[in-house]
Amino acid sequence: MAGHGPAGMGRRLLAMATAAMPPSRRDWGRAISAELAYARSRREQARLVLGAVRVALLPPPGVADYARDAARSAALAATVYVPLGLGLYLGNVVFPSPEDRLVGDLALDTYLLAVLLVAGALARRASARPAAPVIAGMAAGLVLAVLGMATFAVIDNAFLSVVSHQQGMIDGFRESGMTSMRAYINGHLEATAPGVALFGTIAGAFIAPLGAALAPEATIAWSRLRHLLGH
Amino acid sequence: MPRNRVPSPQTMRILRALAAEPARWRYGYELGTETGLKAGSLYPILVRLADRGLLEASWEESPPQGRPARHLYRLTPDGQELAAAAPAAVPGRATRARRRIPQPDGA
Repeated sequence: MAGHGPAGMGRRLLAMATAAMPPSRRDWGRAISAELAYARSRREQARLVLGAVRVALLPPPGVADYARDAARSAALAATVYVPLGLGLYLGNVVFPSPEDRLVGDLALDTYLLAVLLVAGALARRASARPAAPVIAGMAAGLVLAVLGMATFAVIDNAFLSVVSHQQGMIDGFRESGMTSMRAYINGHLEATAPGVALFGTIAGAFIAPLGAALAPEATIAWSRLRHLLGH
Repeated sequence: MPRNRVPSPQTMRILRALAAEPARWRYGYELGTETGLKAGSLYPILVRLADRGLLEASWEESPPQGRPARHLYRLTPDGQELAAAAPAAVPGRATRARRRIPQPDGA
């Protein structure tokens, strides 16, 4: 009866697929299992099993939407990073400052803050889901942190002769007791990269929702400004 | 404001089939036959529609004797709205195939 033959096999596979579904989806597994009793051929039974397997493989409700929020925000962060990366190159290689490697710290921080606020505002516009700005901010913060560390890794290695004249590098190298400036720089990058990535992700999670909350106010203020200016 | 993505041609086939008689509950098998979609494609689409609040599901109250109750489906008001607002004709596989085949003059 149920336990033997292709129908029994189909039932067992359907039960396995149903068990693999998130609890909120198991009713779908039971619905497909019920259809098995009405299937007219083995081919139809096999297709029902395939349907259940595909449902089991679907991301849980909401996850796909959040993945889209994150991808959209990551793309935004990667795009707006281009001028930032150029700025880092100019500040460290073309117009290097012997005093401080992070020339224009304030401008850099302001730019990063603005990007995360905009990421949150855009996430709110694109999605009504409450966690969308948080996810968008985490993705943007992580991408900015990773790209920032990657830029420093490239600049520091490709232009070591320039970068090694920075006072901060000289002091750090001396204190490290290492014999190679390149090894010191790369060791420092490797040690700080996880922390920077974590900081970027957390900062994004807190700052982007602020941007989402401020977005309506900013839109109203912008409209008033345009009105005052006569546009 | 949340933006809705354009439904796939397969999703549109299901939406149209359900929107033809919006008050009637439909079986999965019946929908599959009507839309030409196999169960492997049909159920993931139904699940996604339900996740987005476009489809409601219910269990059959009086199934045929000796057989299990089946799931029944119909569109929610949001689903009906989406089906009504969607483009009139989504090119199906057959239409796309015809486009690739050069048509004789005057055809």
